[in-house]
This record gives sequence, structure tokens and C-alpha cells, in this order.
Amino acid sequence: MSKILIVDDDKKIALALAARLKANGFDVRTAHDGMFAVSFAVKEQPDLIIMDINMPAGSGIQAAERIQNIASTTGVPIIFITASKDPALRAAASEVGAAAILDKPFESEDLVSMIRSTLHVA
Amino acid sequence: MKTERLVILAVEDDPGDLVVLRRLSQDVSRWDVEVVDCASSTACISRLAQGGVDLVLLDYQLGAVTGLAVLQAIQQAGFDCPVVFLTGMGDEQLAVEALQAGAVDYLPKSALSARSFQRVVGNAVEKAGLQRLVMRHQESLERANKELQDRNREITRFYHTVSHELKTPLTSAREFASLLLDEVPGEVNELQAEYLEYVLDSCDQLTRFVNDMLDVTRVETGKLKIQAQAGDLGEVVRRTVSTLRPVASKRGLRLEHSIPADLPQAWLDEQRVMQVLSNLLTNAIKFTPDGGQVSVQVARERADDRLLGVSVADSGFGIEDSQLEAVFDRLHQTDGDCADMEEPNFRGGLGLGLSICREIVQLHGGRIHAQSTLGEGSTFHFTVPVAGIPTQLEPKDSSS
Repeated sequence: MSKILIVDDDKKIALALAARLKANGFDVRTAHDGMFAVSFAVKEQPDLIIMDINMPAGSGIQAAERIQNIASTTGVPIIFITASKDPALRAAASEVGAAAILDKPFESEDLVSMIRSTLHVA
Repeated sequence: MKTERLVILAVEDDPGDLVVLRRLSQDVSRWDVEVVDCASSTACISRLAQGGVDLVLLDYQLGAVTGLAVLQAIQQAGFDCPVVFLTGMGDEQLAVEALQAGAVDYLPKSALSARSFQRVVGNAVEKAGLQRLVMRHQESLERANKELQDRNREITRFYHTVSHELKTPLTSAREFASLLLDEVPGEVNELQAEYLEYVLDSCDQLTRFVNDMLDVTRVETGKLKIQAQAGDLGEVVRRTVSTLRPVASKRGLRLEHSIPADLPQAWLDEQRVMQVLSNLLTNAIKFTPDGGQVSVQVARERADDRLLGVSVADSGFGIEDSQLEAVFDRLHQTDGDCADMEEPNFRGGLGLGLSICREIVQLHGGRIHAQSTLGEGSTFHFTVPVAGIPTQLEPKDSSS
């Protein structure tokens, strides 16, 4: 069972996504800020991270950068979700190795199929 | 009757001339004139600084200095008091120079009379008054214009904030409704499922509004861009029509399209053209009574074969002639929309869609317009360029 870490400061969105992914057979953890996400990622060793970009305590980009710089979590695929269309943010997300960027609001089916294709599972 | 007081500052070093000026000023019928005098540039400036001077009479020959130098000093000190030159014999040529330098008028000493004095002084004071009035109006117009620009920026920023703030709760509302509908937490009965569909519909409608608001802020800030490439306009039409067919069917509307088989490739941003078409079709469906008809027609433009034209025709209420252009304005609403939000006629919408459509079409180098017959229906027509036309390869900047 693939383990997925969802990081979103909006607890409702994190909860909804968690329910959706659990229903799709994933093992899910949630974090609500970037700092916590980093330590959680190290402890839980997820197969994939869903990361909100705009969060008050440490942006998703910074968190992703730190996760990629820690040996035990380096290379973990990260799918960013964002309400912003700011091209600079997108560029920054690609730079820290975004597997994909998904615009809010999105269809959960799109996220699920994006996760599947990133993890190479049918 | 003399009602108003007029203070004239005579910059004059000839006592004889001063006597003449004082006498002439007694004969002015319109004002109660007081003549104060000084004999140097410095004295003139310090007297003006005290205020209350309505007019300066400036002798052209002031000992070693010329009146022109005094005029410059007055202007440099920032006084807008009208200046009339007193010119001596043979000074007429110099008078022209003085007028060019900003004097209001000149008064030849040789022709000094009660009449000429009253006329020149009267004109100068009136002219200065009018100038001040024009200046005040201009200032207030500039202020108003600046306020409007600020207000416009505020609205744009507000749209931007609102649309961002709406996106997050919208995402979670949609996701929770969709979780329920997919029976993730448990079984849902048929009626519950129907209601949840309504929730999803409303979320999608909100999403469109939010995206429209964001597009408008992009138009306002010149950030709306298109990424055009060669593409199949017919396919764009087919896809958009099939997306909207369920909406039309629900209302019992016939939704048809005709696309010629030999249609050349278009130069377009498919997503953006789809947005335009989807907007036009949604409007057409919205404003056509149940059982009516909406049709989309694609063809090479007859007037210009470097363009492809798309027409969206409906059998709806039609649009008044006077509104055919205004519908493309930002925040335009049909009368029915604005009359009363509680009315069943209220059709909602932010009045942004068509203004965005126009912008997108113009970015493609195309045009959009509407034709209508009241009671019979409306046709919206827009053009996009055929692919491979060199002059149209570079999309127009949104600011133009």
C-alpha cells in the first residue's frame, strides 16, 4: 500500500483529500504546515507527498526543498496544489522537483490519476 | 456702482507716470481701484508676497533693469498675478516679446486714456479670472481622474483577493460533496445524490465566476496572454458543444453545429477559444426559452479569407440595438438582470464573460460582434486567423 503525505494548512481540504485517497486504497498521513511536514516526511517515509504551496508557516516550496535535501527523503515525488497562477511560484515549484502542479479547485479524480501515474501504479 | 475693490501694483520709477496712473484709476467705473507702487524688482516681489494684488502694471524701462527681467522674477517666484506692460515710445517691438514671455497685455504710455486703461485692466483681470477658473477645473478633473484610476485599481485588487480567497473553501466544499456522492463515507439515497449533484453544479458555477474575476484582473493589468499555435477550430467547437449539450438538453433546446470538412487550420490558443465559445454558448442557452434552438457555425470569412469565423446563433429574446456594443463592456448586465435580484427573470452572471471574450478574441487578432432581432434571437460572431499567415503570427499585446 503506497503511503501518501498530504500537506495543506486548510485542515478541511487535507481531511477531504485524505478521505478520498483512503477510499482509493492509499495509506494517508496529513500535516498542516511546512515545518511539521519535513519532520513527518523523515519519520514516515511516504512514497509521495501532496503539498499546498501557499501556507503561512513555511511555504510548500521551502518544505519541499528541505525534504529533497535530506538524504532519507530525497527524490520523493511531490505533487503541488495551489490556488495561485503566479508563474514565479510555478517555476520555483518545478525547480524543487515538482512531479506535477495541480490548480485549485481540482477534480479529485484528476489528483488520484495523477498520483497513480506518478507512482506508476494502475 | 463700484462694488469690488481692485488692487493694482504699479512697478514704476517715474513719479509723473504714477500720477497719471492714479488719476486714470479714479475714472475706472467697474472697480474701486487702489494703486500701490514700487520701483524695483525686489520691492515688487515682496509686495506680491504680502498678497491682495490683482494686477501688476510693469514699466518696461525700470532704470537699469528691463520689465522683462522683473516679469521673469515674478514668474520664478510662482505668482500667477496677471502682468500688463507699460511701454514707452518705440517699445512696441519689445511689447511683443513681453507677450511671448507671458504678459497678459501691454498699454502704450502714448495712448494712455481712461478708456484704454479701463479696457486693458478689465480684460487682464477677466482673463486672469478665467485662467484661474480653467486651472481649477483642470485640477479637479485631474483629481477626479486619479480617484477613478485608484478606484479601478482597488476593484481589480479586490477581484483578485476575492477570487483567491474563494478558491480554497470552494475546493473543500466541492471535494466533500463529491466524497459524499461517491459514497466514500457511506451509502447515499437517490434524492440525496440528486441534491449533491446540485451542490457540485453550484461549486462549478462558482469556479467559473472566480476564474472570470481572475481573468478580468489579468485584462486590467495587461497580464492576460494567449499561447497561440496551429490547431483545429472545428475540434474545439465539437468539444465545447458536447460539453454543453447536457445543459441544453435539460432545457429542451436543440444545439446544433456545422463545420465544413475542408476547414483550414486556425492560429489559436485552444483553451482560450474554448472559453470564448463556452461563454457564448452558455449565454445563448441562458437567454433562449425552453424548446428553442442554438446553433454554431464555422466558416472561412467571406470578406477576408485569412480569417475563420464562428457564429453562435440562438432563438432567444434578442438584444436591443442600443445594447449590441455595450454587452461587451465589463460589468454590463441585461436590464432583466439588474431590475430586481429576487425576480424570476434575474439570470445572474457577473457581467464579465463577454468582456473577457472580446479581450481573448482581440489577442488573437480577431474581432467579435453581436447582431440581433428582438424576439427572434441573437447571433454572436467572432474571428480567429488562419494558421500560417505571417502578419498574424505574433498575437497582439493586450494593452492595444
